Amino acid sequence: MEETVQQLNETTDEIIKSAPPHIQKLLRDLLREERRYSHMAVREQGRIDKLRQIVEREISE
Amino acid sequence: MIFERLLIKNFRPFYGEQEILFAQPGQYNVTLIHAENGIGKTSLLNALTWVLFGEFSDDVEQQTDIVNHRAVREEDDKAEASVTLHFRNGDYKYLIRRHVTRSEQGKRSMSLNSGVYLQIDHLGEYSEPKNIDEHIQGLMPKEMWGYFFFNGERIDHLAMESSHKKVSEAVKVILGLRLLEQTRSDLKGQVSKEFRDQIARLSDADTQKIKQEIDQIDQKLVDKRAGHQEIEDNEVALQKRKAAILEDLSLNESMRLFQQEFSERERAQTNLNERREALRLEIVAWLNRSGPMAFSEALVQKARKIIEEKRTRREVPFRYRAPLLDDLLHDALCICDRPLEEGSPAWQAVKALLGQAGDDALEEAYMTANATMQSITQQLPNESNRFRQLIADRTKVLSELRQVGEEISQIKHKMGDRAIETGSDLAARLEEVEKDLRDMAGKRAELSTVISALVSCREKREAEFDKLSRREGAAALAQRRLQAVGETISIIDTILEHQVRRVREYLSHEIDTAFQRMCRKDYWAELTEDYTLRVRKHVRVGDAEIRDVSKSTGENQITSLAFIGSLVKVAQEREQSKNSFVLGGGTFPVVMDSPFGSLDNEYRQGIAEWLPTVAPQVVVLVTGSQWQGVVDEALAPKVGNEYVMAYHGPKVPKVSNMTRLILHGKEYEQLRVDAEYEYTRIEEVK
Repeated sequence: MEETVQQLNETTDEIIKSAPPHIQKLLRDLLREERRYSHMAVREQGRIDKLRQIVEREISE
Repeated sequence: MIFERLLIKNFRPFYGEQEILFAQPGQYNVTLIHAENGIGKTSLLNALTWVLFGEFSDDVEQQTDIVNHRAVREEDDKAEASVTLHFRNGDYKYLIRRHVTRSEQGKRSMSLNSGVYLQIDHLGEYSEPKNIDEHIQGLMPKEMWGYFFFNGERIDHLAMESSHKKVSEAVKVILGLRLLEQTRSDLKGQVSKEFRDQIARLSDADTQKIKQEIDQIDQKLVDKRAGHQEIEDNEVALQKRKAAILEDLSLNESMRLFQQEFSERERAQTNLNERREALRLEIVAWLNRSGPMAFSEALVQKARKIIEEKRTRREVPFRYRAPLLDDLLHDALCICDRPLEEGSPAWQAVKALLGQAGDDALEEAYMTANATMQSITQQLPNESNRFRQLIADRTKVLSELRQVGEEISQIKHKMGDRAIETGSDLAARLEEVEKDLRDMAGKRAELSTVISALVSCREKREAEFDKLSRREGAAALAQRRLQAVGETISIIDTILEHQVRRVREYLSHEIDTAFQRMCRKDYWAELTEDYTLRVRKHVRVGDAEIRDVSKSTGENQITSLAFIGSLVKVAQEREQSKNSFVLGGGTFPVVMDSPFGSLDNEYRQGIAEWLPTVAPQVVVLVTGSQWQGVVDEALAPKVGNEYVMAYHGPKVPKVSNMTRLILHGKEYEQLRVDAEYEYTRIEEVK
């Protein structure tokens, strides 16, 4: 069933690629940040700020 | 998370410092711990939950009673309980230690001091973080430990219909889907709001007014959605109650029979106790009456021998009575009318007889003693037989009492905490719950309508806000950011929808694979779209037809185990995935207390063969009876490390079923009556 995880990854990639390039980049950065805190139950204001900063960095003009 | 070493000091039943080294992932990944019920299996499992989360499972009684009683007695207020766990996760090594001290100040007041310490070693760099809970949460979600450390006999509830929400939550949290939902929610909520705030600050009065309206709508939406969630939670609780009532209804008949049997056994126990008391009184009476007789047999024999010798010598019974001879000499006349002149040969002959004569009292004493001894000799066999019979009767009654006691205990175990209700009571409760459910559904529908109206209103306001905010420079940038967030949310929605579906399908497949390995029947298991664990079978009536199986406790247990095993497996695969869109996952050990429960051999063998594959690291706690036969054969080849828990105390515990355990040709005593205070020690099996 390793294939299924691989398939899941591939299909997810396809969904991402359907978005405009700047959204793809934004999404990847946001989720990379979230992956660092996989199990954190508490949502601290600092993390919300981090998400906002990523958006501001990616959409700067 | 892979466990390496556990140190337990004065924690609950464990006295002194005890150590367990865990078997590591690989061919021999099972750590096996032998322990009988009632001496600390649950406490050992809870040493892990306590050190990591500071929590105990629901089945632990007296949860504040942490420091071992013997340690408290010996060390007074300095007595400390602690648990230290060494584990690793990827390149990180962890040492977590939790401790508590307890001093008895008199018998009523107690003081508790506790603390927790975490040390992290990342490739030789050490740190001691303060936010310990957060670090542990990052490795294993606190609310999820019940899926990794559990009592196998109590896990069957996951496979019940009422658990679908719990199952769904576990899947989403452990596999990272909940995090994706949270990301979406944060982007839509807080992050979007901050961009709207920026736009409003940089815009004209009209734009600011619309923004305020949107904020007001958002606030109302938060309240209404909270109300909606509350209703949903109530509905889940009511559904659970309804399921329990329906189960009670079906169980009621069997419970009634159990109750009947229980009452009969209790009556038998009362009768036997009365009989035991009557026998005790009879034995006491016998001992008072005939006890000395039983111990006087040798003495009687000796006395009889002496008398017999005297009789042979014609010394007894007395041929002449002294008062008669005295009278003859006094009257100087023999009974044959011949004169007895003092000093004459006849007088001297009678006088000489006085030396052989006895008096009346002595004569009577002889007669009585002789009669008594004859009586004792005759009675002795009968009395001895009677005593033997009384003792035999008592032994039989005690044996029957033990038997009845065991039967009562078994019936109690089967009945659990359930009380019997009449069918009409249950029907009334069912009706009441169904009415509440209808009320809730009505309220939920009303709230859904309000929420839809608010969402629609908000969309309109948002469109106006967009239009106005585009006109201005800095506000326009914030607007573009807000729009980018909206587009990102839309993509996350699609990913979520896709992953939720595929992960469930994948899990369902894994659950079935595990289920098939444990259950040899022609059934299969599924995780349905509403996250209910079902067992199904083909029923061939005309065209093939699929039917749900009404699961037994055993089938519920293996379905639940299959679910946990699959969750652990998929979590590990997700953790190892390099794709940044696959969130969550993790490597988790599984610790199971009594996974074989009271299952029959067929299931036991299946579970024993499957257990080593359930997680990279498996810890199993078993009783002697669970370990025998098929379980031993199937699981022993996978055991890396093995331990025995031994009870020490002043007497044999009531629940004791302990025997001497023979492992690898060596004998291990599980019960030692050698201490003033009860405690448990863990010994390594070599």
